[in-house]
Amino acid sequence: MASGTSFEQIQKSYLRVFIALMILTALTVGVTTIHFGDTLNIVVGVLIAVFKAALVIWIFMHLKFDNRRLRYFVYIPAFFFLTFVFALTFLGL
Amino acid sequence: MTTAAATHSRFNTGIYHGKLGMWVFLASEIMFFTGFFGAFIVLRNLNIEVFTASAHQLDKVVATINTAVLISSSLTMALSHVALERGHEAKFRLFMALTLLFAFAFLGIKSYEYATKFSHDIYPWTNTFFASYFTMTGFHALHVIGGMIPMAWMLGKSLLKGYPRTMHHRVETLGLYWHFVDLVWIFLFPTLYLIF
Repeated sequence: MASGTSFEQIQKSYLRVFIALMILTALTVGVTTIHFGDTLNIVVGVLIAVFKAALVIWIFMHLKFDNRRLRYFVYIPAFFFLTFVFALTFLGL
Repeated sequence: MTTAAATHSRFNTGIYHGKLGMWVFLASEIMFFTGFFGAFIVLRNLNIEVFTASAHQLDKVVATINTAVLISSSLTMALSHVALERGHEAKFRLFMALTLLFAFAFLGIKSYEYATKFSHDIYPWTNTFFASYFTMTGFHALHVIGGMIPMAWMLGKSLLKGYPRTMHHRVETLGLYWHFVDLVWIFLFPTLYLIF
């Protein structure tokens, strides 16, 4: 975390992330009332979840501010996770 | 953590040992939950009708409220860390207490959901969807409980003896774990409740 910024400034930026997460939660529930087709509904649900996850990891988990090499702890397992999920979904096993 | 090596950033990584250790653990945790998601997808593809019918029996409203509760707990956890880092112990206590409160609320709502399922004769052995549902949410709930123990410990220590500013690394490390628990729920929520 940048040490030059005050508690109030950080609180404000965390609150913005929180509001964004709440809006995205409302959105992901809201889009279930629209039927894009089975596959597309799953894709939209996963995309919103990935976006929410990125916000949490980037800001709340301080990855934006830490050593860049620490990001591989997210990239590598996330790569395996997504590969696994997509392979199992679309190979129809 | 009294030794310098434990709390000070290492020259070669730029982060302290506790944080590095937590990230290694979280990477393994991602793979742990990946197994459940993999099993869920395979079982779903084999029994799409069962999964669709069963998922519609879940309570979306209650799950949405629980998602909001858990996201709120992530916010207060992040704030409790900055508060201690900046030396505001009273604020640290307030936000840590709120985090613990949200965690209790989450478990309370989850218990209500489980109780409702049981009263409708729905159990883990009902079908493969509910087997997955109870396994995934059950392991997630265990992770929530696992996070509440150090929260209560830190809060208790702060109330009794005071929690020094130098301990903010511990709060940050616990925060990493707690945000991960929130992340798992962010993926479980659409998977179990929304996509069917």
